[in-house]
Amino acid sequence: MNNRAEEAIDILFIEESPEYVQLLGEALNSQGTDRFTIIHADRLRTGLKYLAEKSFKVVLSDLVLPDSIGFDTFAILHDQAADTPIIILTSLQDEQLAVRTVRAGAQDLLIKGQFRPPSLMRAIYYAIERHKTKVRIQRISLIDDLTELYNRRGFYALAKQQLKLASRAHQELTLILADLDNMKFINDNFGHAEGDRALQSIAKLLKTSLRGTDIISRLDGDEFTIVALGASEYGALAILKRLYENIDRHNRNNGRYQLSLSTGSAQYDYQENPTLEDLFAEADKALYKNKRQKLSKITQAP
Amino acid sequence: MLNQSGKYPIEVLVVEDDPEFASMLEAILSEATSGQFNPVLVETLEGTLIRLQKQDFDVILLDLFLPDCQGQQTFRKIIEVVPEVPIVVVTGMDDKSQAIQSVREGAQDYLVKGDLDVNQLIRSLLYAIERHRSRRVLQDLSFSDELTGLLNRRGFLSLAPKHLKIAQRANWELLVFFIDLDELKKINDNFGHPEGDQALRAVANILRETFRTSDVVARIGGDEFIVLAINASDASIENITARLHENMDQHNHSGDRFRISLSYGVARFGPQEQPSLEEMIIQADQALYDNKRRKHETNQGP
Repeated sequence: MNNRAEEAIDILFIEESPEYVQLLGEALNSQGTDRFTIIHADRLRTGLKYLAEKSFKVVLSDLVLPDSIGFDTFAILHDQAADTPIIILTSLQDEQLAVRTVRAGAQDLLIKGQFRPPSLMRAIYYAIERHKTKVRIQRISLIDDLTELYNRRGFYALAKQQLKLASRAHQELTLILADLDNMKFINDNFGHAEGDRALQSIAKLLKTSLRGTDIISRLDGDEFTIVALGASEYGALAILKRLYENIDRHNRNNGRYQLSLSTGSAQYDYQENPTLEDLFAEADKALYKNKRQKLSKITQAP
Repeated sequence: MLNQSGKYPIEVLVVEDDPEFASMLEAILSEATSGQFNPVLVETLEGTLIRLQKQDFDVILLDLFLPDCQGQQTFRKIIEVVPEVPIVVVTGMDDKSQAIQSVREGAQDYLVKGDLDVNQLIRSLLYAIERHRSRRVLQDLSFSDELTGLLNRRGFLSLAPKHLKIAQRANWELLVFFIDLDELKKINDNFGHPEGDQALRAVANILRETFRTSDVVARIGGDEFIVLAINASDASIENITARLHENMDQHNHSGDRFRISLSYGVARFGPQEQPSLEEMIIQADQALYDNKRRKHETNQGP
């Protein structure tokens, strides 16, 4: 048996009737070797509060609660607890609703009075396993294999979400585009494997120069983006300064070639509420300017 | 009730060697649900594999213990052939670790014969179909390149071996094209990244028009594309490259701001050779490199 057997399985149970919760809890814990720790919430709002405070292995919830009824209960729950598998336990015998709920992402839907505790226990185990697979596939669809940064899809998905947050909370946000100036040179002179290593180095430098909450992505070959929520224009300058310092340090330890990065940034202003495309275009323009300045410096050099 | 695709009835392959249990399942599925399901019975693994070649099923109800194969092997052999079909395991053995292992390897559910009722069985099948569909959508996403809609590197590495097997079994010739977009860097630097992205999309379209839908066409890096064409005897290298040039010219006369120029290298493998995927890519890449050098020398020539 797997080694999860010894630790308790934490369950959030959102259900109006405390008696039902107690009954099922006892039944589950009399089944086998696993211990189930059940936290009870008697309404959706309480359940959401617990979800924000603590992580659970699985959420069990009725669709009919004092403060929410029907499919919406699941939709709200799913929105707030995307990282946790959800099993619906309900008395509503509506097959259309059941299929719709599973389609929308519920791991299972059991009808009260129509299942015995072993079935529920199995449903819990399988929900946890299937959810792991789902998260793994979801992750690889958003992550760049080479650098383990977000890929283009990940960038758009997360950047849009961050922009929404900035707009809702009237927060500052900076978008930075960065691109490796001499990718082609590295590829042509040292081979593609070295080019890959250079990209991985840049990824590492970006990670160490930024906060854990910043969204760093590799869009394509040598294009990188950073979304820093809460960063002011001044904050963005501090980020770039740290980044360039780290690159310099890296270059001092690498004799074969130097990494050179061009950057451009755009500042989100909630009063103007620009779209991601607007910000992107602005940052791209700044990046272009940065590149041209570098180029003219080189060509004007005596 | 209809399933999402509106397909009706739902085709279920019931794999069960116990005649009594099999006819009970058949009765439940064909009668109790007033024609929502259309069950087809088979008793052996061999029978299952033959049947799966003849007909598409929406879901498979699978006993793991068959006369010609037992245990997890049964599941593995079937999912390998039809990963697109959801499988619900139904078995007499209530073994938790086996159940979890099955779900971990991709089974949608694991039902225990002694603990099964009609409603539960039907729901399990319906939910399996829904969940599996969502999983496939995610998986397809993880295999596709967001920018061009072609396969990405992961998609190529996962699909190509299957096509390789088919080619070897059918004694077909194999062509591998390594293609790259010249001067992407210049387009990016002179016109901005959105135009660079546009150029990559244009290349994807050119490749889609040039190759057949049965060929594996992927973007595996910034400006690098790879195509695996099997059974290409009807389409010689000359034909394909002529078409490629034609489609390129057509684009370049369409009034876009930038010209698209592609470099490519081709590697051909006879049906008797059994190259590894890696060898094929290396040879095609080498051919591309040689072509590029030749191009360069001609341009710099006296």
